[in-house]
Amino acid sequence: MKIIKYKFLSCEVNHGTEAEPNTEQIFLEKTMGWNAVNEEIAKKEAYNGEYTIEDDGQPEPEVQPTPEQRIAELEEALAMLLSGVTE
Amino acid sequence: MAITAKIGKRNTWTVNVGVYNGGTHDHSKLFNRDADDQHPMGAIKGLETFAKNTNAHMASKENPHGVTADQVGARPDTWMPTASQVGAAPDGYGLGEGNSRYADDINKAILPGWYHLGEQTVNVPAFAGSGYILWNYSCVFVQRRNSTIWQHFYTIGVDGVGHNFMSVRVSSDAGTTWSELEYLNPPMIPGVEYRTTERYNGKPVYAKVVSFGNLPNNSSASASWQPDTGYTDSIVDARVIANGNFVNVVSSVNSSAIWVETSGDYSALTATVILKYTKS
Repeated sequence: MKIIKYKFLSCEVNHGTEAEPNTEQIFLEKTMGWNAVNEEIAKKEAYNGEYTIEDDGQPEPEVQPTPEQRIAELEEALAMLLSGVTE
Repeated sequence: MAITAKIGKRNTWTVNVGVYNGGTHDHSKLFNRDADDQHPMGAIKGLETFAKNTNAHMASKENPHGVTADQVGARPDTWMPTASQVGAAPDGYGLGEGNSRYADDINKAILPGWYHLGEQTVNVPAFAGSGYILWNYSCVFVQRRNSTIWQHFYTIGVDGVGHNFMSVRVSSDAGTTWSELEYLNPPMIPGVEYRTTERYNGKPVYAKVVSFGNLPNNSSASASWQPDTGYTDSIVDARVIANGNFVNVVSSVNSSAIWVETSGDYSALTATVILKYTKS
């Protein structure tokens, strides 16, 4: 399965005072399943714009049918069932 | 008729005591005298006035003799009682005063009362996210029972409104050592870990906000995280706030990563994850 990995700046914390700030930048590692939209997020969030696309060795997740597709499947199965009863 | 009385051993003094008109001067007739021989009080000049003045004097509370406080063993009107003499709180501990007592060393603020902090106060406990605190507007309330001392910190944030929060620590050895500071209402600055007064299974609950960035589009995503010190024991709670709304997308959290799962395009939402956990 294709994934996107990158480091991003999560937040900055001031451990000093208002007059003498001592700011710490907190970076986190982020991983997302790849798709075009997620890659756009990575381009925007990644520190220095650096991200990688890798294969994690896992199978691609099954694409779940939309509710409309699922209803159509059920209606088809019901029609077949009813036709068997009437024959 | 004039009455002349002679007094003195040898009758050497003669005094005229008045004029007696009628009656008798025979004192053998003092009892059962007739009207002519009576001596009405009103006939004695000045006696009624004297009696009236005497009664008024006896009833007077205005100190007519000018007796001083010292003569009767009372305190002078310049006497200023001490706090202990009237059972009041000690002077300088901020009770009933506009400003509390300044604590130059917070470890020495161990007597009950109100204190306030300043930029120069030493031994201030490690406040998480201390850069967001205005020390000059923060104060401490101290309670004590024998060697157990509670310090309640009332701390003002830099914005003066949103970061006003309370925290507490306790000493069980008269102020020699202190517990970690615990927050009643941590300000939850992203990236800062707070130890709270909450407990889970008897252990202190820590709280932290992790800025997750944008949520994924119809997929899973994870972000690394870790406690500031030590290791997590139990994840007590995990909630996601995205663009000001609660979204139920957390699939799991462990000691090093937060996993979310979206079933639609949530990429326009920027999420923060509120974590609560105990430590081992």
